[in-house]
Amino acid sequence: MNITNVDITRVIAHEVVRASQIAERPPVLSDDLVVLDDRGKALVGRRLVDTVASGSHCVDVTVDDAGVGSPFDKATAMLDSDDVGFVANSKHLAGSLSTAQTAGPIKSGSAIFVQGTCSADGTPSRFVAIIKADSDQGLYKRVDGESITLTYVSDMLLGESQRLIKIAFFIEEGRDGDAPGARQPEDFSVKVFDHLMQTSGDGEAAAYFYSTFLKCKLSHNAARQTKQFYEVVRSFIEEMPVSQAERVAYHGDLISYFRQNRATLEPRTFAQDVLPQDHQDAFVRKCREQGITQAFSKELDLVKGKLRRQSVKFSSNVTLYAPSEVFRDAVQITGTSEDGWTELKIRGSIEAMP
Amino acid sequence: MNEAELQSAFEARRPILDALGRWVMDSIIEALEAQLGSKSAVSKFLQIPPKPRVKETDSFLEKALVRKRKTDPLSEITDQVGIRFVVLLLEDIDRIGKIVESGPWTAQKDRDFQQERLEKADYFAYQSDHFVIRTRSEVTHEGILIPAGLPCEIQIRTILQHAYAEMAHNSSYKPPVKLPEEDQKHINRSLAKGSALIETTDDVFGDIKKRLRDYNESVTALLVRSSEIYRTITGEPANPNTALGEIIAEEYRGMLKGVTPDMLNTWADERPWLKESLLKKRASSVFYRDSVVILLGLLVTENETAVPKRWPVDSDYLEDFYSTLGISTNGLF
Repeated sequence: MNITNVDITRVIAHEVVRASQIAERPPVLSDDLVVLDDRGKALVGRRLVDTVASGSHCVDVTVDDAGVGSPFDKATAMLDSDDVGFVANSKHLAGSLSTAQTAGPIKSGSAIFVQGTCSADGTPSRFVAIIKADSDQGLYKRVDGESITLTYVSDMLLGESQRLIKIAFFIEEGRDGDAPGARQPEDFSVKVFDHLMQTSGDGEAAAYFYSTFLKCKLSHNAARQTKQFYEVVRSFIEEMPVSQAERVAYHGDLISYFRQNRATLEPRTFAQDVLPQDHQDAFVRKCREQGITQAFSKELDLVKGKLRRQSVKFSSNVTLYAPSEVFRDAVQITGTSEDGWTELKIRGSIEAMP
Repeated sequence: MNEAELQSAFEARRPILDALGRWVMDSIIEALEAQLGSKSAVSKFLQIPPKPRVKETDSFLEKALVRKRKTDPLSEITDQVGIRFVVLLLEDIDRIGKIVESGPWTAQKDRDFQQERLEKADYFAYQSDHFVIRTRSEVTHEGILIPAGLPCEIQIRTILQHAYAEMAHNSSYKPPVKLPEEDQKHINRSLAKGSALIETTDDVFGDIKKRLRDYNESVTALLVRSSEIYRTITGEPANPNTALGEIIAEEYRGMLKGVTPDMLNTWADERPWLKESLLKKRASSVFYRDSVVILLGLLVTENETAVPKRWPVDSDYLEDFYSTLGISTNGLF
């Protein structure tokens, strides 16, 4: 989604801790809105865009529980509530985030609730974002006359590292009727960013934020999106102005990339990881033309067969098959000769003629 | 008129012919200056400083009485005074030709080498444009009264055509020594070869110039359109020639290939939110007051991974610009 013109209207921050720590020391929940100056607002806006705009790793999620008192209900109600309601709902959500932080390498940190307006794919929209920000450490530089002092800071928030934030983004896309009260999931586009989702699969650690805390599930379109993306990559490689031998190698790279242990796929990252620099932007453009502008959950159901083995068919009707994990390392296309033969090298000796 | 009378009449006329020559030359140089912008541009444009030349009396008499017998030589001989303009490129000849044709005199084209090329398609020899102009009415120049109808010849040629003409003049037209016929044939053949080569080279020079100009014009057109779009969107003045614009156009030359001004309009039209963004940002950032942001916006949208790799100034600007465009900087900076 193309997110521009982010303007921040209300912000509040609370402390969040691991569930096991709640009993020891209840997290600090603030009663007051945070006053941010223009540069602070700009920074928050930039982090939001970086994590949810096109080229980012955020994924669409589907709201699983939108009932009264659900996280969706509490979060979306903040859009129209007065400051008192805004503060109350944010405290409630911060509390349930702490409760949800049970598994994996979770640190305590802050929950920042941001309300604002933006232009979403060209349409003026309102949004609420919940940012779980881990504290970073750093040094604060102060220039005093001729001398510079560096002071240790243990609680720096929203630095450059995306590993330190998780975001839930509720973008209002419409309103079903004039009915006041609870909002419908259809009125919103809900996006989640969590760096754990890129790498470690659908494990408990990655799931706690969008699932346990937000009561959402990964988009049901994942399998279809994965297949569509696979087809786009295939046809892009097919059209690349490279030799057939390189094309076979890129196809092998494609298969191995899909088979890697990653929970999401994203066009720009794919391009940077697999394609040569000269072709990366052409690939990003092709994906954009096909409507793929951001990350999505990888779901291999519809492409499993294609990933199992890699094959090459020759004009003489000879087809060479190999399990894809073997193909890359055991088959080398060394050249095409003018008399219509292709030279291959295959690792291993002839073992049998089944 | 006998020879003595003709001689004294011509000699009496010499200062007037000289004044006519200078009047014509000054008028043409003045017009060139207006077109090219400065005196120094004109002196760069003209490969050899022009100088009016009044015909030698003997040469006039020989032409009048021997070579091409005339009934009224003082009126009929058109090159009693002449000026030669030597330029670099064929297209420069047309520039001067147009000035001559629209000058404060009557002009007639005596030789048109482009036309001669077609008429004698398999013949290679002297090539040059010749004009004969005549004063329409009396003119006073530098205190000298020039009568109406007095002719002046103007030759315009490229520096290569000039080199050929000088060579041909010395070796064929007026050779210092008379060669045996067989040798002269060889020389004539070589001159034709030289002429053909020079015509080819003049065309090649023209191609080089055209390629450079096409590129420059296309880049200029993009910067100009960028500033027009910026002005329309923001309602603020915009300058197409900024240092930043120049740096960006230079750095992303390769990417500008294939970008047309109309693509900038389409790009901006698809982004109705741009107005609010630009108005807000330009208040506090000089970067957003530069209309090249429109062109840069298109470049970034089309080449989001490649643009940061070549970014020529502080990357904070570009990172902020990505956010403004709604493109994540994740993994790019």
